[in-house]
Amino acid sequence: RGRSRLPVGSPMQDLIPGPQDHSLNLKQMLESNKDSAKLDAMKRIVGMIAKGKNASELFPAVVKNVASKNIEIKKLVYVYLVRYAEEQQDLALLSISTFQRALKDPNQLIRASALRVLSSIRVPIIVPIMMLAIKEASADLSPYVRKNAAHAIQKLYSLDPEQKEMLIEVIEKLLKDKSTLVAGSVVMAFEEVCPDRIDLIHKNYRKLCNLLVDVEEWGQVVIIHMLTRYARTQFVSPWKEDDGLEDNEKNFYESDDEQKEKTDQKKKPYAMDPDHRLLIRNTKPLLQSRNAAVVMAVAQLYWHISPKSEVGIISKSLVRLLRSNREVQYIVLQNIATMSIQRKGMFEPYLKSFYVRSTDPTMIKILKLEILTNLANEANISTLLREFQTYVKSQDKQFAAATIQTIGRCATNISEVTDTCLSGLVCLLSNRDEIVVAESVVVIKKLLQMQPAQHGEIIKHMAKLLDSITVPVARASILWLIGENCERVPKIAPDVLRKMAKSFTNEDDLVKLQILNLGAKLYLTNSKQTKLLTQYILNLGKYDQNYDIRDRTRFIRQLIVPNEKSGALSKYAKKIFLAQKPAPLLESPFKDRDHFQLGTLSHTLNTKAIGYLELSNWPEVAPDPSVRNVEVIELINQCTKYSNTLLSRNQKCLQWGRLGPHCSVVGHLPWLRS
Amino acid sequence: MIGGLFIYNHKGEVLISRVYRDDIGRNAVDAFRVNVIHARQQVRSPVTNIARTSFFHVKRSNIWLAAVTKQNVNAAMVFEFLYKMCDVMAAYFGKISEENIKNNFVLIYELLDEILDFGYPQNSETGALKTFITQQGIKSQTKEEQSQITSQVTGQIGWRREGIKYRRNELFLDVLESVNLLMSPQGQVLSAHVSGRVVMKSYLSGMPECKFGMNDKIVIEKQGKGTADETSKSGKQSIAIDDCTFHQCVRLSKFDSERSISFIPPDGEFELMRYRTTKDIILPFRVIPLVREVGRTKLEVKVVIKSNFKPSLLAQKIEVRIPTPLNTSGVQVICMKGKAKYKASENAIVWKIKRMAGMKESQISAEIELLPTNDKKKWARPPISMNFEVWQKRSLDPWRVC
Repeated sequence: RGRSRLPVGSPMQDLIPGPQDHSLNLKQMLESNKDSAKLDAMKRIVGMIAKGKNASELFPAVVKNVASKNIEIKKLVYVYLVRYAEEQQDLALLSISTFQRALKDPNQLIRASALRVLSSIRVPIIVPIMMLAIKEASADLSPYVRKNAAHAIQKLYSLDPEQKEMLIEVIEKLLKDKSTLVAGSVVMAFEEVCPDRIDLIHKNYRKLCNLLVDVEEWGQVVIIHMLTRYARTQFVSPWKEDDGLEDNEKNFYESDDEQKEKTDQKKKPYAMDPDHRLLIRNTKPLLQSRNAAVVMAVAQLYWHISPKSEVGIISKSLVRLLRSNREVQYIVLQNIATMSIQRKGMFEPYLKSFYVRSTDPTMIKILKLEILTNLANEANISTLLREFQTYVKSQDKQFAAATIQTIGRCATNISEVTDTCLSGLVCLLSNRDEIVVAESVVVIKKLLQMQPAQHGEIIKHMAKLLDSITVPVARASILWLIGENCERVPKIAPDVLRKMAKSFTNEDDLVKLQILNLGAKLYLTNSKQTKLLTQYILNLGKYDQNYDIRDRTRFIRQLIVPNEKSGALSKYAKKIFLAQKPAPLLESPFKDRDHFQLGTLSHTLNTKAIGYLELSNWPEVAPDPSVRNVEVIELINQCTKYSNTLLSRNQKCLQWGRLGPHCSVVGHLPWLRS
Repeated sequence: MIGGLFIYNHKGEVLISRVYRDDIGRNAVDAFRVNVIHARQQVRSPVTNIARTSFFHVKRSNIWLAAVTKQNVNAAMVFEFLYKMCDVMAAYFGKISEENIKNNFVLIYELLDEILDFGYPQNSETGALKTFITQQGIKSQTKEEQSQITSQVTGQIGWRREGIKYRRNELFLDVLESVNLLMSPQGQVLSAHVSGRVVMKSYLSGMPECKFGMNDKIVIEKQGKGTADETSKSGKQSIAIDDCTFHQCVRLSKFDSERSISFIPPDGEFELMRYRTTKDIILPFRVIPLVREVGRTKLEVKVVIKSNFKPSLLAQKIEVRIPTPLNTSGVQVICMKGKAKYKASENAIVWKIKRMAGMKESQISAEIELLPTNDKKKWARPPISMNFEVWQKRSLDPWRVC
């Protein structure tokens, strides 16, 4: 009789792997008297869930076992309930009374796990029950139960955001908790439910700072992130004065002068708030943690809130993380890359730690290159260039290409070595490997563009390369370079155009566009020799398959070939084509990342992830520091309150009676009776 | 925080899927498979963002583990958690393989439930987990056992339970060091450091408070201050430790103020600390390889190892691993000392020497025959690796345990 009530027409049913009698079999096992059969059935069902198969039709049979005395079975039923309760809300209610009973169990472990499962059952009807259970648990004597209450807060909030106000009250209460077990969890809840209620932290700030070392590692990470944000809103910036200090010590700030002016303007002596100092001091030992996430969290705290002169101590710990697994390395290197742009000095002593190893995966190699580039200066560039020479020979072509780009960037950043780099790159032009040659061509093009000095020889050399090199980007770069400097190489340019005209139809689109460009430039400067050639190329372009090329052809023809229809612009054609072009800026891709809080996912992705909390700027004037004072009277109050809660516990137990009706639900369903 | 966790095999079939949060749709499982596993290109970044959903992935042998999130998490934390998760699984059923995962579905699901609550990582100490998530079918627990579990799970010290008793109290301590070296192709040492681990096996009763002292030969650099003076003061013998990390049982605050390592150890084996030194490293061995390519189908490899330590010391169980190209068809090896063998499955020549005294030299030469291939890619010449043990009689020096 009971079976006919099952949702037979559920759409997922055809996805069930076994034949129908397979699940019938499981049902029989669940209804058997033996625990071993039940356990076996539950294991198979959980196996189905784990594989992502649908086991929802067994719900009624499973739910009956929630009251099982056997802990193993119970645990598996919990797993099942959490997964399917949302889909079968009415049936899920059957289990609630069991949890309510378990919430009063003398064993704290059972109380906690009942709360954990109860709060994971996503059935809106039980929101009031959950709320009550959370309130109850938050005053439990066992810190473990209180910890689970803190977790339940976030779950309830995601189920029903309207409970926010009530939940904040609970958070407020739990924040006052003195147990290290609770601290991490409640701060997680705080971050999720009400990260803007910074006022709740004031009174607990000092306590959190003092507990921090003893909190479990995952909780430490969350607390440190929260306190970083807190510090940025409550204390004045410790940076200005230190900048002045660092000027003497030869710092690397780009905006030295500006900052000096600022310090001049504001000569008011800066004294660090003792609470600010407390946070910085108490997080320091955590740099020794075994957990990379904790170290990373402390590092970002120092970066964002400590005086600039003290940030240095994190570099050693970060460098140490480079020996952990490659994924953590990747994250750490990204963060170091961002830091090293602003403060070279921090990582300079560790330059060699960023040398690439042949066993590193490409992603790590490229990040290391990035950091090496950021750290390069007059003093170490020659060592670095020697190192780069080795990298260029690497079998990993993507990495070799990135190295060449890096050499280009070093050449532009450090003027002393520009010529050395350039000649080095020219040597690479005769490398056996085409990708290396192509990349060098592209980089040389950029370098020459930056220094319009006489580099006729290099251009001639590159023109010769056109015969052999096949990589389109490189060919296009050479053609562009010749076009741009066509007046410096008057003999070669027309000849190159002649060769290109011959091979035009076989070229890549990118190259074709540059051939058109070269043609146009030569037509304007040396029309006597190239007029016919250009017209020939324009004709080829006119009938090209690619519409971009056809379009460009039409545009160029109108612009350079004078006819009666040509507009006013053609008079300026030469100016347009051969204008002074600004040199490309070779910049670090990490340049604009520093506005994200370091260590976060947003920083890694370089976009704002959901839930990203902006770090506020330092306030001009510090808010009242006395809000953090915890008065002694209040402590006494708390003690009395605590004993009160003990008293009221008994009273609250009486309230459970009101929730009784759900228990009776069980009795009303006929198929449960059999 | 972490919104869900998926485990795939190398084909991209889902082995385990666990979703913790609503914002992760059930189709996220497929998105990752299509975009990362089936993409078949080299992984560009361990964090892949697909349609505003981020996948943090780790590959262990043939298994992919992916943590999914839409929220702004601490990136290092997710990876740290994934690796912890691997450790926990390895502690339960050994190697992480498709076979093992399939056989332990239920267990993994239970574990996932325990170590991630609503996407927040929880206590992941295997010692603690093992007390209440067990693999053995039905095991009726006595009241006493249950209360033990309770005290461990709910207590402040998550890594040790109360009431442990041993007839003999024993503590074993191993110091394992590995030398990391970066050399330029010209043979110049670019950087070298020693990273060491102190591994303990504790079989102690009750809640012992242990203290791990260091004698004055060891100088741990106080952060922010140079050690130069200290080192010179304490004479030549001193060993400067650059930095160290500790197991969570070590009281960090005490270390910071008193420079003493005090802790209540977990039961059984654990890693107490890791440290690193970079100064005055004398390399115990020099490995000098010579590779000559004779035509397209033959390689001649000669490797010389020189021991660089005191003649009174003895290195044992030396194992040198010389990688060979993928298209190797046959190898002939001649070595002066020890035994050498070509292992096709590992693509390497493994050369084993039982023991070797300091300031000695030994040599191996091999002729490698290659199959002609069309592959134009040159052989990347991966690094030669080497393992050995040096036993010192005064094994507790320079560490002292009290």
